[in-house]
Amino acid sequence: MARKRHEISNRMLLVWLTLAGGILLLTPQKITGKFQGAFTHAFRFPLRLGRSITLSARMTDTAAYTSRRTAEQYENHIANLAAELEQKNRQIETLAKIRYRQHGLAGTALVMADVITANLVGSRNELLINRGQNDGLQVEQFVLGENCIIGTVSYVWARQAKVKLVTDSSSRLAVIPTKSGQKPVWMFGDGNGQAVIRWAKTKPAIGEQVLAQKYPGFLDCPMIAGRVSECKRNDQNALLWDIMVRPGCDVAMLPSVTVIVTNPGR
Amino acid sequence: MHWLRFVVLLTVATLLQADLLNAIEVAGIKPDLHLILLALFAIFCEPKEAIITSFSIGLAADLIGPSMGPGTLSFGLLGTALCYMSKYISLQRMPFQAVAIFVLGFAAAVFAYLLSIFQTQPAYQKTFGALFGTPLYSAIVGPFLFLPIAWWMHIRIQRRRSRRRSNYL
Repeated sequence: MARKRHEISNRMLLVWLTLAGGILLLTPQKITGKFQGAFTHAFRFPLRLGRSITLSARMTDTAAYTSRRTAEQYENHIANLAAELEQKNRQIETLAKIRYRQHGLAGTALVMADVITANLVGSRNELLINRGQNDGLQVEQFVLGENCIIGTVSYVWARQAKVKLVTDSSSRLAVIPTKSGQKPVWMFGDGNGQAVIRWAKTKPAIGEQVLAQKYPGFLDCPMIAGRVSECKRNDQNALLWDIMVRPGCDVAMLPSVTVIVTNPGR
Repeated sequence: MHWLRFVVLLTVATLLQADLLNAIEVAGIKPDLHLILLALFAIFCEPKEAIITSFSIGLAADLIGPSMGPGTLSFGLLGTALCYMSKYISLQRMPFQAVAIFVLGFAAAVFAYLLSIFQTQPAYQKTFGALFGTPLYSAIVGPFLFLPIAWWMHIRIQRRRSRRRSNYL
């Protein structure tokens, strides 16, 4: 009899667990994110092991991959320098006799971080990295992969951070197509490994560089964020273009990334 | 129910799901181990065990998911519903189990998306991959994983043989 008194019916169990799930659903993500952070922190070693196994499984031809990666690095670096030079020239034209910094990333701290997990399936395109608030990371800071802007920090824990890639379906980044126009436009992630610039008035050339617009406090000069991969007529207005943008590097294969910390001392 | 074995199984499945399964993804779609576990426990366990395991699996899926809550509720409620439905529908054969996994995955994706609307930062998206791709891949792989998982959990699975073969024997 005493044992029976403690038994809980299936219906009550279902109600209690549903209530618990509802509370979890309505709790702010800032709090529930700590549970996710605790899990990834507790199991960081097996997660890293899994990541390295995934990378090695994908790396079929090491030599070809290394040369492609090096080429991508150089191409992106050249594109960044060209964009920086162009910006400097424009500044010199308009604001002569003012002293500038020699380099777009001067005064910033570049924090190297290893990728713990890469979630690139479906509409979610995120990386989990092993640097966090203790290393000076903040939300909205830009993240580089192979010298190319690949995303922004979207969530920060003490020792880990989540990076939302430019291809994530909820990502939005102000960019400048280099040749087709100098006005910044929004680039949205399409969740299929690419990003898209909608409603463009001019059609850019395939392979044209797309630069992330400078964002005071987070990015001091434009940097490459991808290249035009395809141009399609807009479904609603045939006079406008939807421009598909491919990231400047293969994000799935990145073992590490670099976070731009513009105010390292703060 | 061997709960310690269940915790070990769920932890391993969550760690595999987090990154390792990316190695076998096809066109950006990978199977969902949590969905397969959910279907297994919902079909072959008693209602009370099925309720607890469904919510636990949903919680584990949320831990590596975009946000906490939608997965717990959708997996928990749909797993419970499948458990009660399996009393009336025979899901002993592999094709039926595959169909159950697909329908369960599709419904869970839609339900999680609808629930995420209540959150301050909705993170779940309704894409072709999430709605159809992952459930389909899981439905193909799932029934083959039922046997080893059931062996580990000491769950008895009695699969019906085809009528012609049983007559022959």
